Amino acid sequence: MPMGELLAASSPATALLQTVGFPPRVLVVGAAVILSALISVAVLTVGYSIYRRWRRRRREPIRRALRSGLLDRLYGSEPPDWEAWVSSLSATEQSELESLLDVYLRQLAGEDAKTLAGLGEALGISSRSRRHLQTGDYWDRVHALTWLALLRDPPDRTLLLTHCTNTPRERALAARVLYLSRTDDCATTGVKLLLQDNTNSFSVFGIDTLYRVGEIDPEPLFAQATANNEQWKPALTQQVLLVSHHLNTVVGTANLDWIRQLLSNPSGRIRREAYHTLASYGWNQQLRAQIDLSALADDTAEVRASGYEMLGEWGDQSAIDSLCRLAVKEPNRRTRVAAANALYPHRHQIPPAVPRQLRTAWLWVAYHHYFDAVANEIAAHTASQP
Amino acid sequence: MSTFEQLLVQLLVGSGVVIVSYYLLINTAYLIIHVLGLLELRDDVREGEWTPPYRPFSSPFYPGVGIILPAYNEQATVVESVRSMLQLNYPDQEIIVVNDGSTDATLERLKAAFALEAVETEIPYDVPTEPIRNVYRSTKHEELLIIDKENGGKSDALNAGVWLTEQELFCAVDADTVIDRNALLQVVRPFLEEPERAVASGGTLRVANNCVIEDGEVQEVSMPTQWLPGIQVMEYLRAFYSGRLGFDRLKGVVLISGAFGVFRTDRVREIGGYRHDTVTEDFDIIVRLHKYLTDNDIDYTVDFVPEPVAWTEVPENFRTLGRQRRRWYRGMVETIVENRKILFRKRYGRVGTAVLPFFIAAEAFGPLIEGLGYIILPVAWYLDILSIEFFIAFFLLTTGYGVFLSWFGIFSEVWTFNRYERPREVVQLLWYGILENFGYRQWKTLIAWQGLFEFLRGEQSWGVMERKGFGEWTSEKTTAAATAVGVATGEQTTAEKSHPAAPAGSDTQSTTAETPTPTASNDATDRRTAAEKARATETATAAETATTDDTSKSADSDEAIAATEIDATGFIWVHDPFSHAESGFVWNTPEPATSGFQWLRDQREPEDSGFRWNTPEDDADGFEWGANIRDEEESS
Repeated sequence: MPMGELLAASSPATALLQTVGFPPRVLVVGAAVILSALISVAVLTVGYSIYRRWRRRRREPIRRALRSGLLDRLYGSEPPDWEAWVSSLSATEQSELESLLDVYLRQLAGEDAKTLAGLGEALGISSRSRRHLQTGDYWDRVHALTWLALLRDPPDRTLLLTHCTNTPRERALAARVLYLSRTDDCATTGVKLLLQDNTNSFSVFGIDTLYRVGEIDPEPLFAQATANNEQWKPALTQQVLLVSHHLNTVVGTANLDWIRQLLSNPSGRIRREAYHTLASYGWNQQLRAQIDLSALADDTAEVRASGYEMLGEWGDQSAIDSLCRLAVKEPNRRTRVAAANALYPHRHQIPPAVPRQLRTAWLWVAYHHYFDAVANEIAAHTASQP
Repeated sequence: MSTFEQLLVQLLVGSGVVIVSYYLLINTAYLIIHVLGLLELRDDVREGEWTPPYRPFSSPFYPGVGIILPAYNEQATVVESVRSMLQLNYPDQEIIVVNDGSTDATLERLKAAFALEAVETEIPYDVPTEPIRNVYRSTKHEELLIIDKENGGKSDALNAGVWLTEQELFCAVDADTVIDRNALLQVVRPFLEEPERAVASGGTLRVANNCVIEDGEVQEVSMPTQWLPGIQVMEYLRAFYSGRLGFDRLKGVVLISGAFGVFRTDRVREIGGYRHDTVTEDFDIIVRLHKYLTDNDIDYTVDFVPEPVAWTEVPENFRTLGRQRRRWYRGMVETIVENRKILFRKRYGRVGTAVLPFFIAAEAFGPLIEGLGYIILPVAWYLDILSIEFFIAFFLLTTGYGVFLSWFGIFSEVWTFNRYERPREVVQLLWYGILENFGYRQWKTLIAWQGLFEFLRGEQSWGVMERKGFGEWTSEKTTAAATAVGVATGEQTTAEKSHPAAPAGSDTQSTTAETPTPTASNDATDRRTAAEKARATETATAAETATTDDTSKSADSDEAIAATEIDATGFIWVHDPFSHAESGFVWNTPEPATSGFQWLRDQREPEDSGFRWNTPEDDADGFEWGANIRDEEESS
């Protein structure tokens, strides 16, 4: 007997169902829906599991053979005839080869990467990527830019500036294409792609890209910062400051006033980052002369800690004397450790008697420096063993 | 029909209406959550398929992570766990092991394995935890720091790590968790994408029972051979790949597993760290972070990332599983009650208005209501108002729907990460999705009720977690290697998260009684170490001479233990004061000169008392609660 009839035939059941508000037919329909859903999910799940296992088993030997073919051609004595090889492969093999190419392009650099880029060309990745930049959706563009970066194959700049500035991720990828291709306009167009008309912060990949293009030439970055930092969101300002801290190629004529001005920014995080950045510019006497060290008595402990780090990095006698003076007055115990940390590398520049207020922090720092040195030396010793 | 019977009938029918309505509402919500979870998973997979074209290890911008590993009586696994952590792929990491007053050889094992030396000075700032006895650094691994502290429980141990790490992020892990080698790189993804907003991120926890683990890494994934852990595999998949992903889609993740989660160190310090008086500190901290950050108008995200995986051992018997689930239930209720001000407040966004209320309705009330249903059914049958046909139809529909939702989670796994590669295992998982409805599910409602009563009684214990240890499932090669460094690999009972004082919880010990294995040290290393240490001490002493004499450390770890209170010799029945459900026989001796258990009371804390194994040679002070008592209970 069908369930509906079964329920309908039973008067207490009908009564209760009516109380609950369910006509028996609803239950029957519900049961049918659930049963079909169950059967579908089960078939789909088991079927997909079987398919994936089959595909894995099929692709593994293909991948092995392709890897060996790829390495033979890459490191063989003959020039690799990528076109001929690719045309001899099936669609599945070409797809697997693309995946292998992705792996190797990330690991190799220099001539090897250049030779491998030819394989990308043969697989049609370059032309496909350019097409996707113009007509693709977000993920198409992201993957296209990634391929172009890996292949060191920069497209037309107009294409990048027109189609690849919608999100911070696309901006960073576009700049990365130029950086990895080492184009002449890598720094100028790279910074333009990253920062022009952009107020949003980047991911770590974006920050790293900004740093890489800044390393090639910091002038465009500083020019953008000077002109636009007031329009940026605080998070972006912090990131540009962080990048500026890490730059090693700054020339003496660079305008760094914007950093100094940020020392009086209302945001504690920006003030902290500004001191952190200035730690790298101790060589710039002109800049240092304009910094008011009395401002280091900031209300925020993290800002003070960053200020101490700056003085420690500057490291000359005048900075160390200032640091000593400030450190003994430091009210926050954790910040005192930051001060001791900044002072410790300059322990020969200070009187042997560490001030009482700093003693505990000093001992803590001293021990940790010692253990770092021991562990490093042992690691180096172990690494040098045959 | 008497008036009483009529009233009873009306009450039962009314309850039936409430239960059926509740069922409809909650399951509709579940379906929505599962669909949202599927959408989120699709996006996460897309995101995971893209790898930015740069080398993270050469980037100076990766945030540093301090991995905090609380350890209480983990002598069997701690060395392997630390070795496993040391091998994680990450550019900038620090490993902080917090020995939370272990009464076994946890610290000795660590000292021997990693050439630890004490940082012989006091910590220069306040750490809001139980007293820290000592901080150790490894002379072999720069990134390894060990904190040895008085017992204070898991939250206390985590707090010690949170306050001592200098890293921007910290990752809370359990000592018995195995983390995939690239898991840390993946779980920090939200912090890489939105460095300024991300405050917490958690990965997926999977079941390690029966997996092959080598060199601290899961090499081969297999389904457990027993059905109880098998059902838990399915439960974990459902919880992570449907539930948590759905909440993530709603921007309302309220739970990150305590076994594997990454947090912004400064934000956790700002809220005062982990709370001591809860047994589900992982749930509590996330809810409090939501509250604090919203109250202070700080823009933030709490994320769940499905790909990074940590592996944990699940209980293989009902007794242990029951303890664990009761604790989870109790902790959940505690946290909800504690943070009730968030509920239905628009200010707290989706977390306050949708996610937490749903969580409470589904997770807190769900099993209780279902349990009530199981009581109402026989009563209704007795009163002849139960339609058997209706009951069968309703049971089949609810069960079918429940199975559908479980299978949804399994499908998500197969569709995306497909770690269970053999189709036979997938069929097994589907079968467990059906099987759980016949007995297991009903048992869980009973556990929820017990958990509720424990909460109402003010129960605070963690309970014992019996584990086989990963050694049993490792290959012979690994077992041999592990044994060589003194790691127990056979069947054993270990104390999972059973930090006794957390919060005044029950105390357990490993039943393995191995002595620490000293590691032969390299002579050259020793000489180098001694010379360097002398130099550092010289510097330190120079600093010290100019200061006051206040150099003594605050540690006064010797406990004052006094009077023997029970003077009968022989077996006596005792109750564990930390866990009322625990009791058993112990052998008692009144004579300190003979071997046996002695009843002791801590003079400083009269409520703290317990049995201690005494041997005439043993002059150690302190209480040793737990495993011994339970061993006796087991054998009795």
